[in-house]
Amino acid sequence: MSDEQVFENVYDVVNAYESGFIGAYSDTEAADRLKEDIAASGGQPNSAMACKEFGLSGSGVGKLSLPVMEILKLYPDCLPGGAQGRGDCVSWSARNSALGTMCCEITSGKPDPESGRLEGAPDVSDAGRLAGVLSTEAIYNWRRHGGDGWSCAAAARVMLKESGLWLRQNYPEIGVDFTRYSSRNAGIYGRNTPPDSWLAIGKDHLVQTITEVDGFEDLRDLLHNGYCVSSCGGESWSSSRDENGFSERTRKGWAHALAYLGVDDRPETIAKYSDPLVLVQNSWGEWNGGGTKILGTNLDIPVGSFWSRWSDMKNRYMVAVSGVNGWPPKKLPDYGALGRI
Amino acid sequence: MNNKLLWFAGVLLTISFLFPEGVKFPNTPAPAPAPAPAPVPVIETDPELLKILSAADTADKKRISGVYRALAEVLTRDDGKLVTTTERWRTLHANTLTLAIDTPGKYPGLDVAIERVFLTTVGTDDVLPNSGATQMKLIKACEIIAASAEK
Repeated sequence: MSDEQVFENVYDVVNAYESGFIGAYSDTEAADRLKEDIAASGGQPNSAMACKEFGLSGSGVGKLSLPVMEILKLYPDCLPGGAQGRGDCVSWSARNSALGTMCCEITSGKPDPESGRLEGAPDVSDAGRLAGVLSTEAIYNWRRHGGDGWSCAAAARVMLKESGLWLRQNYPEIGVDFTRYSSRNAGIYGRNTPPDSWLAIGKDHLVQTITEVDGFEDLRDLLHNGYCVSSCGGESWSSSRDENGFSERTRKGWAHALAYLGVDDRPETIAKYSDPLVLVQNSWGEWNGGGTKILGTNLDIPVGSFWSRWSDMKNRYMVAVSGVNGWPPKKLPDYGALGRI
Repeated sequence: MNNKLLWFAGVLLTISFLFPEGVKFPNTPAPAPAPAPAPVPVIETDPELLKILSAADTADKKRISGVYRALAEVLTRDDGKLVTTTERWRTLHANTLTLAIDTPGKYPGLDVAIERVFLTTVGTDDVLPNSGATQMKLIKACEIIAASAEK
């Protein structure tokens, strides 16, 4: 972990990570505890077993899978949701993966497998939408130490047990407004965990299941089915994208967390880049530039994101959010005809 | 020359008597069967709408039919890209009627009957993603309303 550090702008954050700031680190104990908790809650901690059990194996072969578009369909321009202002990248990556899974569950129109109820897209103000719909701070306050930096496994465990999805809005009951991102609000608690009043809200919309992802095939099939991924590792990438939004890996290295919101396993993509690609969403705001169009489509990737070769990221630790306890659907007041015809 | 023509005509006549259905050569495909008559599409209407609009002006009925045929076309062409949820559909529907209908309430109960067609056809007043089955149901509701106005 690192000492607390506040970033004023995009140059600050890039310089810090490229100078050895530790925003994300490996924690094998947390990973073991996470696996135990997943199993105890009836989930499947192993991605290969999960894919086999739920019939997902091979479903994404040769396909372009874009859960990111489901996010943007429900909440246009919500990504990247601003930029991290301290070393809380792990909570941003966790939030983005949970947001992706939540939106895919909603747009699938299928009832939640746990509750059996249909889920709807919760209302969020424009300010809240542009700040990423869900709070990162509500997760980061549970890191249980006074400095900055965290592990993806520990953050996943928090979303599973203590503090899940918090809409970006005011929470007068705890005296905190999460409508807009605030690095200060991300550090209200550190060594001490938040009080019961936070726990009560955090447990309303917990992540239902998490799966540790092992290898490209599982990653591809999970993303194809709308289960988005949070990753931690030491790799870094260029801030320049090619015409298709692809970035080369660089040698500098970042101890950083990144969300995966898409995968491109099409033969033409593999022919061009010698590898399947994964869509990475960073949490540094508008830190990179270049092409945004997805190869062979008229679709744009979000600000701050880029495509990476799988082989450039294969050693990263990955957890997929494979279910969230969302919100009930809203009701229509009418279908639009009353008093108008 | 004339004899040759007569012989040729005589052979053709003989063949036509011997093979009144025509001569079948080994590789000649059988003539295609006459196409079955196209099924007459069942145009679903709503009895309540039919009753309300039974005495309506022809121009008003044409306006209502035109509006809902056009809305069905818009839903089909959009294919869930802009009208992503039933909430957005409600906004499109409401705004269209506000612009297209000069005298709301001219036919008492028409708005309620149209609401009921949507609620019955879609099956819920939950806000749903406008994809797949939901989109087809919205289109079907528009078609029922249009067909009812065309009777």
